Amino acid sequence: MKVKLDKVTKKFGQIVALDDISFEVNKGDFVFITGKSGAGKSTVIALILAEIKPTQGEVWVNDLLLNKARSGKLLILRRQIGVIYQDFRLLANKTVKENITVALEVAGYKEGDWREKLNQVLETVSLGERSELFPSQLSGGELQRACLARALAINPKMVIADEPTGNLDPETIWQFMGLLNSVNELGVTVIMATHNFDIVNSMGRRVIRLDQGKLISDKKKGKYE
Amino acid sequence: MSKKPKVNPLTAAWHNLRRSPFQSFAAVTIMWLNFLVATSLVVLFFVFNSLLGYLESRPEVTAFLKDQTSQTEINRFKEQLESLDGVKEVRLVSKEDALKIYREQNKDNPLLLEMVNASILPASLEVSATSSDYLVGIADILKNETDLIEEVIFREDVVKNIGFWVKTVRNGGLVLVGLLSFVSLVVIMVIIGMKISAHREEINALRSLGATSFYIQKPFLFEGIFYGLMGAIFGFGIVFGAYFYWQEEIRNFLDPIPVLSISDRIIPIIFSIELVSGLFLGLTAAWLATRRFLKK
Repeated sequence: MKVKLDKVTKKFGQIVALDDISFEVNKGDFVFITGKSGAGKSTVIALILAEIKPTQGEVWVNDLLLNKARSGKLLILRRQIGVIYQDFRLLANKTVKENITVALEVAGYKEGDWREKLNQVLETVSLGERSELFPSQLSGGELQRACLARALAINPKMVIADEPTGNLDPETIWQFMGLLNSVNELGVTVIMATHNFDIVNSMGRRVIRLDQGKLISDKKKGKYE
Repeated sequence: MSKKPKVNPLTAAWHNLRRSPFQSFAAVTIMWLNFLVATSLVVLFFVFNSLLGYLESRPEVTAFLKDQTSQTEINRFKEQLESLDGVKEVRLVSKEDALKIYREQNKDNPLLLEMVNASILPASLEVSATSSDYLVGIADILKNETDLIEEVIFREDVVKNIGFWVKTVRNGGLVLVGLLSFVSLVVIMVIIGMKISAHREEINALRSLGATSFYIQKPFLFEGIFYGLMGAIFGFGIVFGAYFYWQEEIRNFLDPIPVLSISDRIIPIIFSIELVSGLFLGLTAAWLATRRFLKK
């Protein structure tokens, strides 16, 4: 899955969240979007997920222009993207297993396929024993792993992670990044918004740097500056 | 592998109901009241209709005779009436016969039997017509016999009144049920709307996963259907429970007038119509409530 932002500006009232930014992410890329809080990272992610529309410019995912796409097509798009939110967005009244199952059901998987998928992703994120617990019963790291399991369960073409390491201890962070790396090696596009300079500097991946809504730099093997 | 994960919309709907039991109770109550009134009006309509049918099938005029009328005059007049067109039968109810009837009707009320004897009850002629079309003419003839007749009771007035009440119950009932249905719709819309607001985060999470509007709406639609069906079942159950419980007593009291004789074939039809109405009302309210939210 590829993404293209073409001269995108996004304003919230008088506030300019993004100011004329353009970049492309090709299929299979692993891209960090970095910047301080308020730089516009989450706005970029919201635009790619079509949760908001740009004030100016165009947002493309594959050959779909998100600005003008019908809601049905946007829903289909979202089912192909695994998202790990900063605020988790897990369903509070469902267990970890049920949260993953809802994602599978929404993505169109048949009930017969759920069990295999569930076992697979729960093993991948090491949450097998905690799968019957509710989000309120999990630690921050476990919640993030549950989100990752939900994102991976649907065999996404792209994984988007918005500040996913905020609640994790260092060991878990690297386990998490290892998982993302593995997913990327399978050809899944990964876009991760973060202000964790350790991760960015260690991974040697493409880095798009934002500051106050402007695109400052876009480097193939970038560092957190 | 442990138990199967629950993502069933029916389970979600049940969960919604349990999470806010007082709101659910309010919703069921308003629906139940709606159907209680509607079912009561249906029964009342059938009662009046039965009564009307009974009266129309027995077109009759009753003429009370003056006390001083002799038996010869009564017999002569009776023969005269029997020879008229449209007269089916003329029955003489003597003072003694009137006393017997009175005693039978009031046998459970001894106070009403005290001081009553045959001399104070008038004799009467009960004239049955072959059709209600002849009643006016027969009544006029009887009214003109002022020497013999004290008073004429003409059932057409009664029939007209009953007919008026049938129309009133029907038309007024439709308006009342329409108003109550509207109120029920609004109340359930508000209640489900409140529940949707409480689930806002969950709904946003589902949307971000790519869930369709219908997927999100489903549990709330089932909830609306539940309110409608429960209301219909309770409303119908209470009214017809009372109907069956008191049916024999009322029938015996009003015998031979068949006012409580709703056919056994009609009752399931009434129940089915109410169930469908309840389902439709609940579903519509839920759909409107969810549509409002999902449009935002």
